[in-house]
Amino acid sequence: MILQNKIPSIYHSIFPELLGFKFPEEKIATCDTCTLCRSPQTPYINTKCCTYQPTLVNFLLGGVFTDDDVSLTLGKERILNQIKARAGVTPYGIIPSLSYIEREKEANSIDFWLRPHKLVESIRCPYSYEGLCTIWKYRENLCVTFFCSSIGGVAGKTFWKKVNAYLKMAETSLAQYAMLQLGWPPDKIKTDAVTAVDFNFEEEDGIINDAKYAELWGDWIGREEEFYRSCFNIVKNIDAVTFKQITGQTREILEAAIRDTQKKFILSNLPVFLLLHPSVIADKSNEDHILLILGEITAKVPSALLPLIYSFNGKRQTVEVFQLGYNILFNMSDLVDELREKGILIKP
Amino acid sequence: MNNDLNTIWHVSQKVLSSKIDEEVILMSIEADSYFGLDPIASHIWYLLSQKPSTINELVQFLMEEYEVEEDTCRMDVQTLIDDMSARKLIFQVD
Repeated sequence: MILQNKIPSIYHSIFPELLGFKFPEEKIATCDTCTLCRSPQTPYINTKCCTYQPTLVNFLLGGVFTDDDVSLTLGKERILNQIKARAGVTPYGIIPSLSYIEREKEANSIDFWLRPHKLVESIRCPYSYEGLCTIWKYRENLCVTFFCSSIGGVAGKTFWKKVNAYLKMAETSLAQYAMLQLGWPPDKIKTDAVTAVDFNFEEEDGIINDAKYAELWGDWIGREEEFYRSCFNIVKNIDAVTFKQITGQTREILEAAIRDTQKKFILSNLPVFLLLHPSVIADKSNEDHILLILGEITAKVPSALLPLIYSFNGKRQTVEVFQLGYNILFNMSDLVDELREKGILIKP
Repeated sequence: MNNDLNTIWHVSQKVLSSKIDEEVILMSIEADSYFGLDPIASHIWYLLSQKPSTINELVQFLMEEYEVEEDTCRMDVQTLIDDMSARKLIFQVD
């Protein structure tokens, strides 16, 4: 698998250097095998992990509007509704509104299993429909790079974190560039990625202050869609050289970080099969945990989970063992990383 | 101990399970903890998850599968049911 398969096509001519980066295919935690939805009781049964509102920057919104692809029809409608409601609608893009952030905080403050379904569903991504994304071609950084578990363990997650940082940097820089090109006064452009607290047009009770909204949008008020389309038309014509000029050393540093973490990711890629080292002894003297002993090396494993460890028998696929763990909501990633590092789990 | 052998038991809806060969691992959502079941306990769990049953019914099923004295089997099932009930992994049918 290469990054070209993951990164939205709008970026392919803007930073072609990134496209050829190889990485092991993520097979453990994907949208199709959602680890949050193994039980009908999970509060996330109807949302998966799409309880996150992406920040869709101006040119990505413009991309949705400009693109004739029928798969974006519903996405367009939803964005138009957001523009009508104005909450979170800014020249930088559409960001999570203050009221959305409040609901998100409330949900996260409650224990996982006790979160009311209604509350969780109230923070469903506004672009999600029946488990599918309505703006997939123009999705934002986190929606490209988020895996709750990686086939490369910690190294895999670090790789995706760096790719995420790169995409976020690109989104922010390109959105600002488009605003500048459209005549936005440079001193009025915020330098970092924006959030709802950077603006003052949404009151605490979720009511929009129209005067402040108008002040933010200036001459573009009422023409938000046109503005986003214009941003897209500017960004789609940016070539790699211009992008490098816009993003400078930050891009260079992030690209180097991706290159570095990519090597570690490939080396850490979970083998198709793993085997519990034949010389490992399991000390079961403690009721709560088993002590796996290999010479002078030891590792603690919760007693109940020992069958999962024994499943690494060189015959059952690693991915399958992870899925068995997910059936009881146990993410094996950290434990497997530790056992591999200690030589307790080996390639057969 | 619940001495009523005709009480009907069913598995809790707040328990997740994963079957690994002949063993089952349970995760109690309420207790936020894991429980490992040996092969026979796993078999009982499987039977209860398929159909709410009494201890007498479970004993009958198990005696068809395993060579075991009825009294021993009944005592073991009773102990396991008590244990799982105490941990809220199973409940009596009202």
